[in-house]
Amino acid sequence: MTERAKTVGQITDEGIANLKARIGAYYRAGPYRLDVTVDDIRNHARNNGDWNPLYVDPAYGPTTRYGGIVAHPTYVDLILHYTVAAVGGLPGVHVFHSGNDVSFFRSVRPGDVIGPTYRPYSVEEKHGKFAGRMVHVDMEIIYRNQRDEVVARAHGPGLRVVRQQARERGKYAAQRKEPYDAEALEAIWAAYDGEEIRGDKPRYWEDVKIGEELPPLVRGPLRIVEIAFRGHFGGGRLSGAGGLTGGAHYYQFEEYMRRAGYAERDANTGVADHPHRGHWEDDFARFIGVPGAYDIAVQRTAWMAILVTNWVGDHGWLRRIWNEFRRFNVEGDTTWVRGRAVRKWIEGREHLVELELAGTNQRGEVSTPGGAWVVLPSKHPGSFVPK
Amino acid sequence: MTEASTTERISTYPTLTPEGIAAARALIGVPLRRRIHMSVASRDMLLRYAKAIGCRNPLYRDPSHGLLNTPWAAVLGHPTALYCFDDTFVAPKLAGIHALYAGVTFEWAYPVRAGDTISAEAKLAAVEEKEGAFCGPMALQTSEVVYTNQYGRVVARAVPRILRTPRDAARACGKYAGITRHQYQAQDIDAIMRAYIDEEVRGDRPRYWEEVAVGDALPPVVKGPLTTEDMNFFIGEVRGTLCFREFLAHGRRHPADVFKDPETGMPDSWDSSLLRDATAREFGFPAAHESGLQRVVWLDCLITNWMSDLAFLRRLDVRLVRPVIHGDTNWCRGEVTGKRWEQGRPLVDLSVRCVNQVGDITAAGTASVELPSHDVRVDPPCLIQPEV
Repeated sequence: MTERAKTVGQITDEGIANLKARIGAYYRAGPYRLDVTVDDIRNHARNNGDWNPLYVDPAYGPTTRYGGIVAHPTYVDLILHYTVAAVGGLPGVHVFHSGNDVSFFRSVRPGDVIGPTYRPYSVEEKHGKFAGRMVHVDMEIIYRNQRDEVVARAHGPGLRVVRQQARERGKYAAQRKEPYDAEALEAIWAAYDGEEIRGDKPRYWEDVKIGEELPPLVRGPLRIVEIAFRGHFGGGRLSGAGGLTGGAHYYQFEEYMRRAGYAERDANTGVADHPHRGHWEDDFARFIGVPGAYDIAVQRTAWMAILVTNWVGDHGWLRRIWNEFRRFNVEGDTTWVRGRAVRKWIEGREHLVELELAGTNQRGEVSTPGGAWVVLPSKHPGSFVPK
Repeated sequence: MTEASTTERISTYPTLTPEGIAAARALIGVPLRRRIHMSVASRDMLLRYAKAIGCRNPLYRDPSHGLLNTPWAAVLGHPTALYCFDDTFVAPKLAGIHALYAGVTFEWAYPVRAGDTISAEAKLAAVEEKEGAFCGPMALQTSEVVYTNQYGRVVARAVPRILRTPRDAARACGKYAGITRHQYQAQDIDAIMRAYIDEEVRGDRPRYWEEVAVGDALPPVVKGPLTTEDMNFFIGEVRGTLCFREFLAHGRRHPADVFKDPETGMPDSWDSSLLRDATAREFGFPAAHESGLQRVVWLDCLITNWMSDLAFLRRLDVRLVRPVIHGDTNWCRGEVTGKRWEQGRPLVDLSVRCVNQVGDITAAGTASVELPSHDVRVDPPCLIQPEV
């Protein structure tokens, strides 16, 4: 066994030191997608359950202040996934996406070429119930378009976890899929029907009251196909749909040959397979200490952002959204996203409102606390809203 | 769910009825509404598609090769990249009766170039009643999908065949019930890896018509062992799935289509049989399986790897014979069966097939490829301008 093989899957002092040595280093960052197209914009919105015409109907955009279709702000995740997998170090040590903090400065439109620049930002050792010794790695990504304008800046911290530890501690061992009866489903479906898209009607900064609640949004019960087949959520260079490997068939073997300790062999079939398959395979999810197939966390960030973009309408702007992933959102879970206005202020010409957001599952656990800053149109003639 | 309720379960899915078949037949010839997944063949989308099918051919996976190193002078789409613009899964009516891809005939007239906008029109052509060991009575829906680019040129025509198989009957018949995931030994995996490493792409060395002989074998292509990751790449790239409210809206229109998890009562998608054994068994499959489209795509890889950059795949007809389940490895093989001139074009005919790790044929078909010729009076395919 080589020295390297001995440390695969383990968090070691040397591993952490190596990771810390990478802080500040800019990485080679190929975008996953070279061109922004109207198809990707629409599919990204639909995959998150967004039917705001601003993002799905190319005929609607020209009637708005944007003058054309624009991508939902969270689209930048398709350019480069927020989380830390690409930072590397600690081979065979799992990554769980633990939060997001993303700021948006400009809209993304068809024909744009967005280039990401990224680096590890901080590396901290943590201890927790889930897996004992863990490493918290934060990554910063700057997204720039072809005019060298900064479109967005993201922080996507992740927790590096020893798979075996997470399994043995069994924090979630008792959690079971909850049954749904007709009544519960009706309540969810009614919430889908009640989802309110502000659209063309300006929501003026002056009219927002502190404490005002946003109309809630529901996403669920989450199905594995919504996790697995939403396509293109990140990963290796120019990865297509699916995931963090570079492609199907040969490209997976290529990846596993290149990255020692990365693949986890399936115990039954003997086939090397990708360690993120716990997102759609229950058995592997349990193997890494998660109660069942679980979501791609950026989905939840997108849902929270949809709550906000629904509320602000076409005349407002989502400036910043942040959230923590405190609980796994597993297959069958229903997330209710709620928000309320907590602060109003003016910065230069921008009139801002801070929203407190929370994603709560059907067990009543706040799985995703967070918040957002929005820029709203103001009745003041000098006010400015980015676009 | 207890054992008793498994055996005593009441049929939950519709069966084939003369009324249902008549309703489907009423749609013959009517242009059908299709959910658009892709409309722009961006360079990025074409490259992503190549990766999503495990294609190694630089003509389709290199952003510059087609443009700089070939007489096409363009970034080309894989012939089957058309699946992204319409997956040819045309199965109107008969809600709640499962739909299986049984085969397709593709005829290509013109390549897809990066920057093209492709639209597709789909029409149902025939509905036939059939009988089979999979589920007893079933219906076969044959359709026509015509792909047109932004100049109004027909780039291809596909004739898909979809089998409609009642779910309860398929589960009861259990035709493939004995099949389980294949277990691989280290040497099996090594042989597959060796085949991946040895995969031969003819690429920029033209394969001239004159140099091909009947009986020539195509270098094999391996695809497998099939994983959920492969499914995600393919389905995500080619058609995605109905998410959240879209799924709810579909379920309200066609409640019988929806699969209800017997354990939790949660409504789930028929698509999850591509990922999860329990759902697949509900529909009569032995385990989570491949979509059917992928075998067509793999045979496309086999042929395009062999034919070289200068050639053009004219026709591919594939008949799907057995389900491919997760963990299966398919070896794509083929040989030249004929050589001919048709309307002044040099063509070769091929026989192609997918064979799984235990030697079963899972898909079989034929293909025609137009090759470049040493005869200078004959234009290579890259210079052909089809009529509008």
